[in-house]
Amino acid sequence: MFGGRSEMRNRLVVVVVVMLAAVLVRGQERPERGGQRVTSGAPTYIGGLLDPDPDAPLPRTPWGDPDLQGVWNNSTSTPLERRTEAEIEQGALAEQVVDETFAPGAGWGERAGNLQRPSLVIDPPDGRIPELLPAAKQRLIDRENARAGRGEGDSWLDRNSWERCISRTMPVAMIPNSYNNNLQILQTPDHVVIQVEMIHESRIIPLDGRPHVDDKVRQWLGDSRGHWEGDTLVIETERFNNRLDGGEYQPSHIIQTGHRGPGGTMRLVERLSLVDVNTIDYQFTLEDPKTFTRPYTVAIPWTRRDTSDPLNRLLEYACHEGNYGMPNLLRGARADEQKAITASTVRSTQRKEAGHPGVREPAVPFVSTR
Amino acid sequence: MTSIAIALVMALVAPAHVVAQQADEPFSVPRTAWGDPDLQGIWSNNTSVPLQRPTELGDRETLSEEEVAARHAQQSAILLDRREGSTGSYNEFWFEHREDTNRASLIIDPQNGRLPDLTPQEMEAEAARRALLMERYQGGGGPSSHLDLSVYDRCITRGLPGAMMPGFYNHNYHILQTPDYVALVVEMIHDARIIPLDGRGQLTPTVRQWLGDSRGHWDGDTLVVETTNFNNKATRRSVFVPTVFGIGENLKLVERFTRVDAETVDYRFTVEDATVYTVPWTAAIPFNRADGTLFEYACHEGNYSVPNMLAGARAAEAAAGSTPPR
Repeated sequence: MFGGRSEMRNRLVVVVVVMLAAVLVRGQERPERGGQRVTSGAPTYIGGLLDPDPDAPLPRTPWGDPDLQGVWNNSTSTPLERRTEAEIEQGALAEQVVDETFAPGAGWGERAGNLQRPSLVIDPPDGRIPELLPAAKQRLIDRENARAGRGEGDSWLDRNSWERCISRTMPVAMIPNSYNNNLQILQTPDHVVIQVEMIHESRIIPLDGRPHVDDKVRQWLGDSRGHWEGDTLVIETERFNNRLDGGEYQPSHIIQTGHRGPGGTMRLVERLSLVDVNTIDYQFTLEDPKTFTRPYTVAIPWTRRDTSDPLNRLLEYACHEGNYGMPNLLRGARADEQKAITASTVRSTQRKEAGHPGVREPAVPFVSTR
Repeated sequence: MTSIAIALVMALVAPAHVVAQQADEPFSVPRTAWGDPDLQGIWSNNTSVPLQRPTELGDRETLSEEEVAARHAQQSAILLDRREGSTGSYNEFWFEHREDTNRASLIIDPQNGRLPDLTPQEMEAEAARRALLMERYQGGGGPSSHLDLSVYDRCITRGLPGAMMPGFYNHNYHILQTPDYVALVVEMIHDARIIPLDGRGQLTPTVRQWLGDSRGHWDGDTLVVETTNFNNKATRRSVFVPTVFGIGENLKLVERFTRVDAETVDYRFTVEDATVYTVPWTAAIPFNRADGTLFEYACHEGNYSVPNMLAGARAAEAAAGSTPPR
């Protein structure tokens, strides 16, 4: 698995370069907030996405809160971070693969067009996740070093919590991916429920002003408290566990959109507000003074799905019981190992048959040129 | 604790008495802002009452105070005693002190408090499952694969009605209501049931789920939840969850939630599955108001038992010089 490590090193170099570039362009442009989905470009493989309806009155619950309830989809082809030229080139290739793999009707891939902005990150203005603090950067390097000698498929512990069907953790659970980008909201006067389709995580968020749980209680999805600020639902979450990135197991790679620190000092503030009856402006600000030089904010529009068609409602998501990816991946790693052993045996036999056992080539006598 | 237990016995077993005692201030069902009965909050179904009535009790539906105390002591001895010198089972750290009622069984129908007779078809299916179990477990040696363990052991689900039945610990439920939905969060294995109340039609029969497809409606002040479209996977393999009854494919589960006083929801369910049981049966399990809040339940990531059980079975085979079936 040396290939994997050097590839990782390259990626780290790219990340560092990109971050330096980001510092240079910071402050030059400020993308608009929110933004509507543009569906004219890329094909949409998602049924029942309702068009914006700016004239319809914004719904309210019987008790007067803005009514955010329904099934929503946050698919987008817009990347989390603004892409560099090199990444755009790579991205074009990836798009092509996606197009070829996820043909309409193939069942898995979701696409819902681009936003009128180059990244989901709206702050910092350069659209990139802020630079890591030196200690946080060192931590990631130490992680890599601590993995020396381990393969990426030695054990399931070498894979991340999403691949293991445990949790996508936060903020990943709220960032769109290639499929299952649906979220269902239920509201009561004192609770909000957000059912996340992928890995079926249910976030139960009290609105009744209760204090956070004891600081010692740490969870994958943290401890959320919500309140209304005008017509915006604000959810503040902290008390994350320190394993959002895999913790002691140090899997070979963290989730791509995952937090880049352990999680224990992360605080997330989410804001949900209706732009029109069929669109939620969803934003989160992530702060972690032990990881990033500054907070960053991500904005993702959610589009209402027409749930009068049963096909647009949420069903159970069978992650763990259908996780054939895990045993197959481990089996693949074992097959790779066996292949290497077989190749080694073949070469050993060849050396012996060629009459130079124990040395790669026949010994060449050293000839002095003096 | 004892006084709480006695109070619960009074409250749960004889709601009629409670109402009579408070005749000057009759219990009125709390209501949501939109007028539905309010079932919301954290509830616990922890109980010392067994599912089936011990046969020696015959037709007796209730126990005497002494018998309740004896049952409680017996269960505490099994569940809560400190065990030294062996890994054993879970211990007093995990298990919960049982809440008592004077009922002899959770099953209230049939009258004998026992599960009804199986259909001939189900008896045959069960015999086949037991034969497969013996084969996969090499006559009791141990599981050959993680697929030989139950879906509960595997941290997938307890299924239904399993998820609504008391177990050993994690007996808490969080109910939330909106005008159109009831959300029911089950602490154990963190199953979340989101049940529409809006009268929509059932899913197409080809869509099958672990927790089926639930539809709720209000029948007076009682929330009625009817669930069908279960998959057949909970008992397809050799080992099954003891609180899932039959393969589930033809199960119709009817649940009823009624707020009977400030501290209690009368919860009962009826299992209708003519392919498994000769007659339907009903269990009543009181939900008692609980303090506090639910936390995440880490089942899968903390499931060291599965690799340990498999490793144990392999070690036993190696010692006996045998190999597992494929």
